[in-house]
Amino acid sequence: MPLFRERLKRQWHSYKKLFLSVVDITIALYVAAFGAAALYYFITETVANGQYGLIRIIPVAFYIWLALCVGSSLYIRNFHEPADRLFTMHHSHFTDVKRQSLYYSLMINSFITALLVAVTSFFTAVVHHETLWLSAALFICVYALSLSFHILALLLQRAWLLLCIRIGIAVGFTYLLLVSPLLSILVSSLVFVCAFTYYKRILIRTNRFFTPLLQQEQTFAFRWERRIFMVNPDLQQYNEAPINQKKPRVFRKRYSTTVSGALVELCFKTLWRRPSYLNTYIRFVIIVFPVLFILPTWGSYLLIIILWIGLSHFSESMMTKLQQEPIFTLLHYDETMWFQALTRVRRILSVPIPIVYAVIVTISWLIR
Amino acid sequence: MHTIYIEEGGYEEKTPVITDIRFTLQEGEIIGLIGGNGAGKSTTIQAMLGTLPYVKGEVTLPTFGYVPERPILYDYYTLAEHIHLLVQCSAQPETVQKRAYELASLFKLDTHFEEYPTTFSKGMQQKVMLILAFAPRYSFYIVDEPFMGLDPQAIRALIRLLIELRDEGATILLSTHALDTAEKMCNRFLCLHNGVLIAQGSLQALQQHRDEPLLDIFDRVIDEVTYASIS
Repeated sequence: MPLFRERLKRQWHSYKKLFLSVVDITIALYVAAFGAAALYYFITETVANGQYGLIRIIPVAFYIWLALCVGSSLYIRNFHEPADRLFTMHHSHFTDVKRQSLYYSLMINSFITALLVAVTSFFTAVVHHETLWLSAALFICVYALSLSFHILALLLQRAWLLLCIRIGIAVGFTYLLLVSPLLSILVSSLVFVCAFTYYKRILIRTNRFFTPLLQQEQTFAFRWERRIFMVNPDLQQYNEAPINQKKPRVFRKRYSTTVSGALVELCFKTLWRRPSYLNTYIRFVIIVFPVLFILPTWGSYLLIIILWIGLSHFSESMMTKLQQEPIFTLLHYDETMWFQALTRVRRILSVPIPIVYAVIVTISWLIR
Repeated sequence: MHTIYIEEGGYEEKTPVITDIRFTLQEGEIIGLIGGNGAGKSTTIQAMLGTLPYVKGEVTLPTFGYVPERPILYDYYTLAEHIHLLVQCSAQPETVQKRAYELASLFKLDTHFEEYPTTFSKGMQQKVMLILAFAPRYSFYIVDEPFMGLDPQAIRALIRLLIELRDEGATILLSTHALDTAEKMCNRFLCLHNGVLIAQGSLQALQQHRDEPLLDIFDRVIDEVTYASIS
């Protein structure tokens, strides 16, 4: 137990460090401002008026599914270190170790069930199931889900297909929980568990389980690490995405005729050709759009201002990074040209989208 | 004429890598900067470029062209866009553009304008550096190991180009390990060893006897310094 506590502390400390290295002050400010506005809306417009607003509109199944996903993620992140899998891999010919891994996963699922009981106790008032029976059903469902996920991961190599089928199974179980009698839920879950456990035993005995699963987890771990590198600006210099093309497909022509124009052109071509920059910009713009229709009008205008600040900061940091490129040690130009170019880039990148959003919000307010 | 005086320079303040380097730059000459590995050639060039963290001395240079030892390219720009950026940053865009395209044709890169230089071979990337350095007309050039990776025809074209620029009155500081090539084209030599300028002068001034090759001069000068420090 002390070792387990120590490991948990170590793991959360490393995740917190990783999270802080990925998030910079702009994103934190953006999220905090949006979160505060959304919270204020929920409190004043819904709960304070005795209404549960969005919670009524969105089916309860969605929240149960979300809890299952969060639970599975916590389970994977806290109890499955790569070293465990490597240990299992190296001792794959020892059946005792394999058996223990099944018992271990049972213990873990109990932990997850306890967590989900705490979460779903809120929904018992809405769904009117008895907490104890619901806990038992959830426990079996979660175990069945995690069992099926392992098997499915081995059978289906395509990540997107795997994700869709996992979501389908989770939604299916959630539907069962809500509409079926509890006895039928328990029976069908038990049948599901027995079938998958039997299949998993066959795979383990024929040495077709741990090895491909470990290889797959290693692949996913490296893919995740690569994504972290792409998001963090400081880490990007250590792991830049190479250009795979020999020549650009579009925008090959040279459009500028002045120094500041050439710098602006450099900025926009970089924005188009460098996936991390383009993804960041699009993410900023797309995430905000649906939220505008959820918030009250004043909240939407506030969000648009935050978007403008975020896009300004993004364009400025992009230009600053460009100025530090080594190529500019070979070129001789007036420093004032950079400021002119920066002003133009900031104006082009950060002004039109907020104006369009402001117009949309204003029109939707007038229509109401 | 410009005088370069580096009293001491290095990457940290109390640990100088180069000391007491003093030389002049005359118009219309090629100066060979020679020395073994770790002698301080690149550090001296960095001190002249202003990129060395710690420099004590006087280094004032006009606007110059620079060919780095390793190619410096922008990952997301094509060759034509590199040239276009250079052209826009120069005082005479049309002249520079014409010259750049002439050099691209000379170095056989005229069919690769729309490609990313980062996908080129080492030699082709070096040619891009030569185009970016020599397209504009400067009075001073710093050329660090320009022959590395070039094919024989490109080496010949580069030598002709350097001699042509020298004849037009430019000063070229050429850092190279290719002593036989340097011997034929350089007017003066600066010999560095352990961060110190141990000898400088023309080939004739440095030779002890006629036809003494530059490599032998270099070995002799280092031996003299080593022997002097021991005794």
